[in-house]
Amino acid sequence: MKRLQQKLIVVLSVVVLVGNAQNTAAEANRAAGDDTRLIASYVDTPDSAFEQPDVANGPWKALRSKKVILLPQNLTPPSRFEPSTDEVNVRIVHNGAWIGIAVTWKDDERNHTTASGVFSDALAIGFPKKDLTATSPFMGGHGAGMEINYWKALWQQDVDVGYQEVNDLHPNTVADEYVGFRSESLPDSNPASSAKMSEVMATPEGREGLPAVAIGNPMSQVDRTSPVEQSIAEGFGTLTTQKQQDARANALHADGKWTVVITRPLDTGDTADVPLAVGKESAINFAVWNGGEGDVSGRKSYTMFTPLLIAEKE
Amino acid sequence: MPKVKNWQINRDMDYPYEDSRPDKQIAYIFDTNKCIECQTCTIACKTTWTSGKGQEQIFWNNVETKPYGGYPQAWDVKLLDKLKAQRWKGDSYEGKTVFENVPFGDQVEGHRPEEDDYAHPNLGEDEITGTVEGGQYFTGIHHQWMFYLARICNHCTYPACLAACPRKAIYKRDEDGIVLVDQSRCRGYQECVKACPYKKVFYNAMTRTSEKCIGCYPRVEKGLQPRCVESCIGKIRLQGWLSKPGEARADNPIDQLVHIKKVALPLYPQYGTEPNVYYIPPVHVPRKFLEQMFGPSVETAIENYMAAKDDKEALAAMLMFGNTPQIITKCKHEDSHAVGFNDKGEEVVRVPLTEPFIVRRHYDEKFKSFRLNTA
Repeated sequence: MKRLQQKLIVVLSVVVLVGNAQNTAAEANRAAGDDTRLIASYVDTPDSAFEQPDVANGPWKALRSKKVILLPQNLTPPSRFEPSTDEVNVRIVHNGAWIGIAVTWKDDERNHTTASGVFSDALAIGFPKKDLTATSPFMGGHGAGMEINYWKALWQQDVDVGYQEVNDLHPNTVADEYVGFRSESLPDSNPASSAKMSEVMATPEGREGLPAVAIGNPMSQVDRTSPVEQSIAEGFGTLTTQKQQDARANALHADGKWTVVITRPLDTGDTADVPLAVGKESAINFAVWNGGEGDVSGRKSYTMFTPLLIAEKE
Repeated sequence: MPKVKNWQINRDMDYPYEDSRPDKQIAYIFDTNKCIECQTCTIACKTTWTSGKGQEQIFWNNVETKPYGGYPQAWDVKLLDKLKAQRWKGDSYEGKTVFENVPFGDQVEGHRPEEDDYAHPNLGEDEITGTVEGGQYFTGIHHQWMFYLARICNHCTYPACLAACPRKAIYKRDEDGIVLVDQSRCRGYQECVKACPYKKVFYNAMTRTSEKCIGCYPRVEKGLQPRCVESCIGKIRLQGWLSKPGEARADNPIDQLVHIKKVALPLYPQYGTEPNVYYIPPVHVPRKFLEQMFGPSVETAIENYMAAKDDKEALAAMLMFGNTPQIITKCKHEDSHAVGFNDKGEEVVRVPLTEPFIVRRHYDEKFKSFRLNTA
């Protein structure tokens, strides 16, 4: 039996040693042991792995995940009584310049559309601008704000497939004419492709027909290129899209699970962001929205702040 | 939670924000007895404001047939059911408003319509309450009924949509009381859609924001009545300004009919939002049904409405309906005419209190033809 155990350890050791960059990360993570902190492990990987994150094969792949328990947001309405998601499993890596955070949670149904009463799955990753003890995990507070990186399945679909709109929700939609759209483009084609949309928005009628698009509401980006939005918040109802967007994201829904990777430079140079530095301790928290459970706005499951250490290169 | 005074239910009530009535409050009166459900108002609104992609199901104005119609489907009965017993003692409401019957997790009691609830804008159109027994067509009175209910945003004094928005993206303008969704701030959470008891905030899947009736504010700012009012061929609508409780002016046609003669009543006052579209109830509908809909003063309202032909002040106010695109701030009766004025004091309406009755000959000598309608 002892011999078998030894063999197993050897085999595992070999597996760990196979990935050159990933092994360092795995060891660092393992070294954390029962440490309640989340450790961003160092990986020797080029920036491109973070700039265009590959969910399945990125540098977070070999890391052992750490479980973080979610609570229902029930401090202020709109809220929920019980969490719609119980836990997230988190893997964090960095290469000295970029940080990548992979978050996995169980969700049998992929909700990536929007309509009346229909909501999208989503994930938010927050960093407190001040010390974690001075900052409310509920979107921060006055003078103690948060940087929030918000990913949405709907936006992922926008980026992967095209801007989700009426024809995606109801493929058999027929309309004689919409204000601002050329009638000959309907109903067979998708008039919301970015090229045509730019034509639509170039006309006064088109802008009148899509007021939130015309006014530049970040929710109405018909030419969206990123599924993640960087925001700042200083308390409930203050979420505001940052002018400078530094985060990248990608996501995969498979086997009844979402895995979402959000990356950003450790130091973005943007005063709206929280600067992260190697060897320094910060904090991080998470929020998950299960669209199928009616999660939207404050109806979400969240975590308290967890200390986050950006590990030194070993 | 702050307490605010709601004159329509004659008591203080809970509301998430302090009492703050606007300088001017937009108000409308709709005479249900005159509506023929031609939907001209609906189309006027639709073609002006909501003919964009993503606005297919958005009807800031709609006209539905009561008792079975409703858009979105069952918008009112679903909430009535949630509020449970809604008792009145005299003119005081003793039940719970949408701000006082709040389930855990919400700011306001409400319900979120399903997508399918928006699929049939005029389901129940022209349906009467039941079957008309054979022969009743000819014997005169039968007991089946229906009526048309024209609906827009009520630009409530205590808007539930505003109360429910966690982003404070909805605001009520001080200058006219119009309630608006800030299209640059809205993130499409749809809490307002859920909270509005009248279901007059809609979600636009194309822009991913919520949109609602804007009270035609670009027109109102120029002293013009909204499109739905101006276009009404039945002249059932009047838009003007409602004075604050206790400050009613007899020469303000809206005040005259709402505060003084109490001919026009709010829709579902028990919801507690103090809506500002006032309805002259249909005279032929069972009172119990109307009392559920318009509160306990229905009988008085109908009596005063029927007596208005002999009440020159009320009649003058009623004759302001549909006779000018301009907003009438003052009216009076002069001998045989009703006269209306805009906010500059200019005369914009002059109509006879009683239309002259002219009998024409059955045979028209000029055109050498018989007339079918001679009076």
